[in-house]
Amino acid sequence: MTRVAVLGSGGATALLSAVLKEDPDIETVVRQDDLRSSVGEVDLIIGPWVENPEEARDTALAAIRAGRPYISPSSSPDVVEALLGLGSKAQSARTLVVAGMGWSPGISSLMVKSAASSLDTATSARVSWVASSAGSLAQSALSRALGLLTGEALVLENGKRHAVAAGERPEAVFFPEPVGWRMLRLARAAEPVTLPASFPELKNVVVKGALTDPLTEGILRSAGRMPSMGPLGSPAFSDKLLRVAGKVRPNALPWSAVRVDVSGSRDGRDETVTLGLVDQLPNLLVAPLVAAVQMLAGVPGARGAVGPEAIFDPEDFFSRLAYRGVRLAALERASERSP
Amino acid sequence: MRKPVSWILSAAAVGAIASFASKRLRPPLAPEGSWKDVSVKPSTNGSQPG
Repeated sequence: MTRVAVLGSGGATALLSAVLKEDPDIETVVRQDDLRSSVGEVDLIIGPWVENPEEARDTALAAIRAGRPYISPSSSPDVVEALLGLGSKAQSARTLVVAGMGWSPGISSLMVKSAASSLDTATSARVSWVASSAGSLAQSALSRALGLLTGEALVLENGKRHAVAAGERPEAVFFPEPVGWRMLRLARAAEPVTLPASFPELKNVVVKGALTDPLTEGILRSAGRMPSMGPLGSPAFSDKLLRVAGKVRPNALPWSAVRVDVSGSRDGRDETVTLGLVDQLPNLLVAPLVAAVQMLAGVPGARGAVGPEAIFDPEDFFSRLAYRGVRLAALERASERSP
Repeated sequence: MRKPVSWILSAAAVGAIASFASKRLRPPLAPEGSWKDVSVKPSTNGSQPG
């Protein structure tokens, strides 16, 4: 039986707590704003969805000091990098920090691991996501999208990591139905930070993203180009703009999707393995965390600070996601089908 | 400095044109292929995997 603390506030945190409470293997779920109380009374801590690396680091350090495993759902590359930097502290405290246990990174990372396992060598990975601007978590989803589709995106190209402008390099990407074809652009993402540590042969990692509604995305990307100083750059104005954007198309497609393309070689031939999945964003945010809580019981000796792909078995992970209705699909290209 | 409302209106106009153009001017792309479910079937007795 596991006692879990869920930190933070907001719709995703409330949903996660409710889902964990239904799990018969979880004894108690404590939902709280920070770790100041009851850290000693839980077996495992799920961190908040935060964008600030210092805040994320402080919270993870409190968990490390208490000797408790810590799972972070934050997708921000700055947060993920800050948490991975706590590896030696987590090792010394004989505990574990899992950074980037969301849908991208998180689900996407384990999709890459699954795809890479069917190749002899994997040299390139493209992660693609499309987020719905509709639904109960629309406001927070839009807020995160604004951060991911603007600013600087990290990419790994020819083994070298560098920053390019997010929102560049538009490309049409085909997702499982009902999402279908979408126009994606470079996004700020943590996969170029986490994946090369587990897959040193990966020389190219790019992440592209979009909102399901191009009109809402246009408004958000324009907002991201506003001056950071002055009234237009204030958080209150950004929040107001996000609320407007969320109301522009209340009937937007409710489905979000992730796709990975992993290229390399198999039996001496070039090959690309493509996996995809579609679900509603709340489930894509919560299901990987529920699976991680369940799976951590199977790796009691794990230490350090790692990405999900370094510690979890994709087959086990995706069977747990399927239990929550998130089903993995492989793309069978027209040219690959048998006559 | 431009007022916030003009930013919103110009952003909305750009988005609307982009949306219209993406739907009306570009021919629909044929599916890249078909998606085959590869999920491990969840257990049917009501218990969670593992």
